Amino acid sequence: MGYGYTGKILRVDLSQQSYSVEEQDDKFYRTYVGGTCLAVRYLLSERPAKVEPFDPYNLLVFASSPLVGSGIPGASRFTIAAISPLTGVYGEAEAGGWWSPELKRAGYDAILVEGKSEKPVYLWINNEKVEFRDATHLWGKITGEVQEAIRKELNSPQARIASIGPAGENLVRYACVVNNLKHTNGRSGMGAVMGSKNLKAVAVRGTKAVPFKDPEAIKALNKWYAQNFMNHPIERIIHDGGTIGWDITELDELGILPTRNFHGGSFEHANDICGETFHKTLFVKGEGCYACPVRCKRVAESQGPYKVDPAYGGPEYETAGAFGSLCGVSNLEAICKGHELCNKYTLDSISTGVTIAFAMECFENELLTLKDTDGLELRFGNDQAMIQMIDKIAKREGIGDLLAEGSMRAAKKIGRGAEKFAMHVKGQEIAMHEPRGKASLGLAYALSSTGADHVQAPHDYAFREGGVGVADMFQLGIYGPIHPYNMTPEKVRHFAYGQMTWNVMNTLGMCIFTAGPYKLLSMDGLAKAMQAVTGWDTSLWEIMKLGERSITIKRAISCREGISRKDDWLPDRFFEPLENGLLKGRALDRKEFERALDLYYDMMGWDRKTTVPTPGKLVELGLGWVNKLLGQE
Amino acid sequence: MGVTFIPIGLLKNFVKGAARIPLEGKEGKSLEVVCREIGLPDHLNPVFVVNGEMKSKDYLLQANDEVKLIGLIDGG
Repeated sequence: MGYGYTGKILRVDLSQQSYSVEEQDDKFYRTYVGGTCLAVRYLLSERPAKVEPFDPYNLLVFASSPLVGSGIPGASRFTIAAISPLTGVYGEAEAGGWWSPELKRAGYDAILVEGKSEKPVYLWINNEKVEFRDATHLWGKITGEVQEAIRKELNSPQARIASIGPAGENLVRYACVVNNLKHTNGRSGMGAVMGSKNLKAVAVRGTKAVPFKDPEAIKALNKWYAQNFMNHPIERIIHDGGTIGWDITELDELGILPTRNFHGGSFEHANDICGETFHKTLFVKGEGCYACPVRCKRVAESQGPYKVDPAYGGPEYETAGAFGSLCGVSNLEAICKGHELCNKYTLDSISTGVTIAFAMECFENELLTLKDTDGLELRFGNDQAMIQMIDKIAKREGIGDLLAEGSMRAAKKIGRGAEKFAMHVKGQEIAMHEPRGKASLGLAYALSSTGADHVQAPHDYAFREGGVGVADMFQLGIYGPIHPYNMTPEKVRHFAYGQMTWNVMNTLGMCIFTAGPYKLLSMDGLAKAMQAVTGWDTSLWEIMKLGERSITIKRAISCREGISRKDDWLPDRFFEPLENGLLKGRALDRKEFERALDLYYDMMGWDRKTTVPTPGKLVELGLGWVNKLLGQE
Repeated sequence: MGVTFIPIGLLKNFVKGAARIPLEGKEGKSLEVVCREIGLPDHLNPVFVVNGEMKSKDYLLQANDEVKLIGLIDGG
């Protein structure tokens, strides 16, 4: 086997309680590499269309990558992928932490899980040895209890555990997977897929070294990174403040802080929930992922009235926005409590917050009543109701059972115009970035094949006139700035190339906060890192093509599941004026957006109506075999 | 007369905690130059909102301008 890989992919059949190990050749690894691209390759080639998300036949993939475990900052991530219970099409979620490097040391590059165990189990992967262990006693427990219990019964305090909590067990459609209590594979409901298989956790422990081609070059890179990241504009501020440190008041001042279910772009209580306030009151310390000096994660603690347990870390910006301004909540403790509950129960905080905000708007408009909400005054700003709702959703109690279905399905059930309050694309709730002020986010949400996703491409502001990211795009052939608000053809091109870079990250198991445009490790630098790890004579061109391949193969599988152009759209609200803030009155233009979609499909080689990648595009990307699966040659 | 710089959020940490920085004699200078003069490190590359409108770092200050300095990342 080559370098950077273990060369082993673990196949697990939960129905049979059996496993096997397969090996792939160098060409396979070089084509699909890892993470998202490798995951889709298996889902697309081994499953027919229309496998139901909760069917035991749904394939659940955990995919690491060759850079992971090398010590390169940010190379700690992995993808979990399956057909999503939230969208019904391809779903994926990435997370950092320590689980992915441990999987590599345990001897595997990826795990493919199929079937359903008769009783709750957890997988124990210990230096290649695989056991199916009874998890009946763990069913119903939160992640902290699960981690403690598993480590104790295995006598392995260093085991890394990715698990689900009650939300996953109860098949909440946006249940996530949490590893080490603080790192989440958040989106697309992968925790619910685990729950549907009666798979409570995957515990890994390994002591095997993965060989890397040029350890000295990697060491030199890591040393250079550690010595320089604090002088870099973006790395320094991420280190100092985390994402919560730099986004609440900042986006509020720019008029693009999602407020009250995306009605407004400014929240009158932004200062109460911002990074500055957080760091003065509830902040304990910064933390990071495996081998990363940036340490963007925050840890929060509070003694009450909302007691917040630091064992579960602290909120990112997305959580602070979703449980804060989006729900009209000004209580920072409540936001941190919401974060803690999501990590305990394994709920995606974005989808949870957006679904609650949807319910709040329904209540404010009398589409839901006190009878429906179990007596809770589910109004914007009611933090107690919000916290209680998180609990109800995780347990599918009362109205929680409806909201556990996600805003799209809940809206359909409520009817009477509720659909216009449901802020989702393809069923996945929209994140805390306002497309009326960040045009590329409009494209990201609409065009992501997994549903609304804010981690598709770098965001607009870094590339404005004088922005820190402008020069970094020169090596990709883009030589000038773009305006954050504008949906021009140049913006579309910028988005398409940016999307390729961030899909490279998700395929290489890299964190977008350490590498890529306007981060310390440039795209070119990333190619050199790949050379040092794998020994491949790779290049920036090859890895950009990898990014394009990842985007395209995801589009192919989601098209096979039934999406088309009509699904690449945004909620009406974004075509209506923002109600307050610096950008009050600003709205997206439908014709302009249609034109942008046309251009994007053309650039990517996708049919403008069906959005299916053309036969030639698939062949060009080394995916010619996909043509037959799509019924085209 | 003069201009006022308002660092938002954690940017205050880079200017000794000042929430508002009134400045005299800066008219005609660019935002970039004045940021340097007040000790804001170059690497921060803030977004500038002058009197409610986004401006580039080359904007030349005018009397009574109120300038908000906004540090920004992608979120996540």
